[in-house]
Amino acid sequence: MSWIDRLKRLVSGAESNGEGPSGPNPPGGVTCEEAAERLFEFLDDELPEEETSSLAEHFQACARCYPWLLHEKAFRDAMVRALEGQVPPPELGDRVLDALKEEGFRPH
Amino acid sequence: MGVSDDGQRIFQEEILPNLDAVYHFAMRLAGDPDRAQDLTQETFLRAWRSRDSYTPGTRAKSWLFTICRNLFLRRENRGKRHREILSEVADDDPRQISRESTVFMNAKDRDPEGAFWREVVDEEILRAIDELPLEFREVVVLSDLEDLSYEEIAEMLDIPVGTVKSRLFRGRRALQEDLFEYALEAGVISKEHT
Repeated sequence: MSWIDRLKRLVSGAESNGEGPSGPNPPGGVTCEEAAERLFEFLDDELPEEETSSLAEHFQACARCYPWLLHEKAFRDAMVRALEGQVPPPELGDRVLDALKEEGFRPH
Repeated sequence: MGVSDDGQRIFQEEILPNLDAVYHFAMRLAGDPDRAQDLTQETFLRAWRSRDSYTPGTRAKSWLFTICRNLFLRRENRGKRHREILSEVADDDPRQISRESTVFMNAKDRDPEGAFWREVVDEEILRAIDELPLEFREVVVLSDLEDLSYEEIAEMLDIPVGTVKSRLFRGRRALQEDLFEYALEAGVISKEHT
């Protein structure tokens, strides 16, 4: 499951109303410090499945870390929106095709 | 030149559909639409000429980005700055960088979920990305826009995965700090704690 799906599930699943931080039994068995260290890797979907689940559990239950997750996600969305907004001019496709045809490419 | 039907088909089905992705990447490398179009065209020509080195069914995007980047770098003289940045990031612990991202801490009392990011205009975001040194800019674009994994980026740039993480996290942190400044100036988020 991609992190976006995971996040959606997280958001729809449960209210984030945990008391947060460390304590003797932090949510997901992960402290806030550990969650902060792995936040970027979590969002990039780069952690092993087990670690991902414990972190998801932590974010879901921790009132301190959950907004941070949403904040980072909002930042990513803004970046992707800006980058994707740059569409190539419509004639570029034809221009590239013409150049390729000159070198023997024959599209079907 | 013998052009097999198979080669034609693979090129058409796996390589050509990445035109937009290559253009996006070329835009962030070259910085203006005219140069980005030239770079895109050249990338596809080069890809066509060396299509034998592409393994069908693998990540065509990474392969194209590598070609695009090599073409771009050949024209750029990066020299000294490149080496300085490399030595600078060598000792970073990426997880430390993640933990120390401070914009959230600064903004959380006023806007805990970062809704203000939606109000930051595209031009400012692109300006901030383009002001990053190339080494940071390229990993941010490859990861956040093109969704390449750390491993794929490492392979493409021929650097360790740890360096990918460190550049990516530092790049994002620098972007956030830059754009947060803008958001304060522009009044997208209030300066005073309420």
